Amino acid sequence: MTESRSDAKQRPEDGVDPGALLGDDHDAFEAVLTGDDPGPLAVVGQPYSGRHRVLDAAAERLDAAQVELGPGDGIETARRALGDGPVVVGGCQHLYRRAVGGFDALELFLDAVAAAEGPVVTGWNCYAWTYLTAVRAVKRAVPTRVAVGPVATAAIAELILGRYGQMPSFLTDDPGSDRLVTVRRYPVGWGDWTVSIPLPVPTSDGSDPDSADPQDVVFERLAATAEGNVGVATALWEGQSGAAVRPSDIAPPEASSDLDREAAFCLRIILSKERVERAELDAVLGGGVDRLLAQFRRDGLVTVEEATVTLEPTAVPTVVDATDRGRIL
Amino acid sequence: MMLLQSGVEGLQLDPVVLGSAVAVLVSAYVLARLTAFALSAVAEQSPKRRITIKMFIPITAFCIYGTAVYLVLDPLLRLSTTQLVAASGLLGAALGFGLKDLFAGVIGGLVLVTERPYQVGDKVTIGDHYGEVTGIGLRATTLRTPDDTAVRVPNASLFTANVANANDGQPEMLVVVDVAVAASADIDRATEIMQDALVTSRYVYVDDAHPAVVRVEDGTYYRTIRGKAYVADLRDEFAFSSDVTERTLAAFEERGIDTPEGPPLAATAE
Repeated sequence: MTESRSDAKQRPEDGVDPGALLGDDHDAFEAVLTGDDPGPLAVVGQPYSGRHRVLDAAAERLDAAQVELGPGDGIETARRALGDGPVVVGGCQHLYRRAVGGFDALELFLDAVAAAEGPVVTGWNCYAWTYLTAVRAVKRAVPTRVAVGPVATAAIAELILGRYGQMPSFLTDDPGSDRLVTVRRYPVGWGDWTVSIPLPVPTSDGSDPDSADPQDVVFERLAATAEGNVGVATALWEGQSGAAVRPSDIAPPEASSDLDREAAFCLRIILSKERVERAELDAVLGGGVDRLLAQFRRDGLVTVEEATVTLEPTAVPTVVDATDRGRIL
Repeated sequence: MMLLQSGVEGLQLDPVVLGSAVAVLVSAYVLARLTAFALSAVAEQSPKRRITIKMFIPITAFCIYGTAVYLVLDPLLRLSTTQLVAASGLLGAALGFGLKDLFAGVIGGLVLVTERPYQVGDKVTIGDHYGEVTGIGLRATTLRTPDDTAVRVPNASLFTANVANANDGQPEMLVVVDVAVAASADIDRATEIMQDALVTSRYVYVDDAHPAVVRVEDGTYYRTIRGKAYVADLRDEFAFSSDVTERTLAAFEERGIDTPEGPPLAATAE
């Protein structure tokens, strides 16, 4: 658990306006802060997407006590913070465990939230939130929800350019001077079904990447790869160490192709918790965790430090894709 | 040119026509297999639309084989009225004596394609057989049973047997899990445990349209806790059932919830 805003370590989203992070949901956020909506409020977002920035802003505006729950934190930590005054509780995804009897702490917390006198703002990982709203009546206790991100390409570019003084040279990918055509992917949609179809286009086309500003192309690629996630974009950028950067340099780690359901399930738990105790994974998966974690670590998806497993920020798009493909809740 | 005389005057088969017919049929077979392989590969990349995509496999096969048959017969069956009558008579006799079942199977296949009572990938019960539909052919449907046995059910069965479709074209499928507890057991706690076991399974799929529910059924000597939930992929039906049962029973034991005892040995001996 981390108390209040004493954490001096700079977060990726620091400096980003909460309004830019919340987009259309900013009005709902303001309504809770001004008291027009009694809440309680759920701030929901992807890992590293800037949830903490929004929670910090809420705590500042409400002059609230602030608690950030971590792996292993129980209900008592959350309940201590829930008094008469305003309170901001982040990391609420750590209040449940995906096992029989694993929702007891969450239920007690939701009861305490419902009984709280002052305004309550809670922070949730969006994958944990989706799961919990499907299997538990979370929305009944926390009826107002705002979603964090995705952030526009321009805002990500502004953040990166403003934060890092020394910029590498921006280059476009060399399409090959002898090539007459290049392959582009075009989305084709029918209803809610969209597929990306690769089509050859002439390199002399006016929309050729060569004609665009290399810096814009790099940041477009960065924002697209990170899917607008500020923390992921920052981590991908920090992963570039050369004197020059090309769009093709911006790539998340790849998961092993032979990801079975157990591996995907384990990844989904890590994705929805962001940080999780190894003991929790052992309890939920019932064995074989060491081998899975070794595989994930080799693929650059997680870091394992002592008893805690942490999702790598650069791996978020990869893990989301891998677990969504398996339709794991 | 050497001519092969058929039984019907005027229906002449020369080697070129025969060669073309064989080439068309072989090409149709290869094309149908390639299309089925490609559609299966695409379907496996999109679990949510797996069954929808696989639905096109038999339809494509019917179209390909239908076109092939037309291409083969078109140059052969330019018959006069007399020849047509004679050929019809032969065909009628063949259907009546030997090909009746085959013809019924083909018609059943056509009905399957148009009415779609089940599709490739569905879990169905046809007559006494239960399993996943792995192929719909011109004559028969192939089911893969839970024992990994391939059962070929003639498409003609569609006209006579009851067909039950467990998922009706959807990738999700409702699975029912029963666990018995002693009549004296804490039913509320047992129900909570079953609910938790359902929604925490790695195979489960829950949303507003696919709820997980638990019901209690009272019996003379024990009560049945019946959990119902959907799996995201119907192929996980038995893995889900086993996972939920195993974790429910473990939690019952851990929390002191009694399961029914067997009948007394003396009574068994009688």
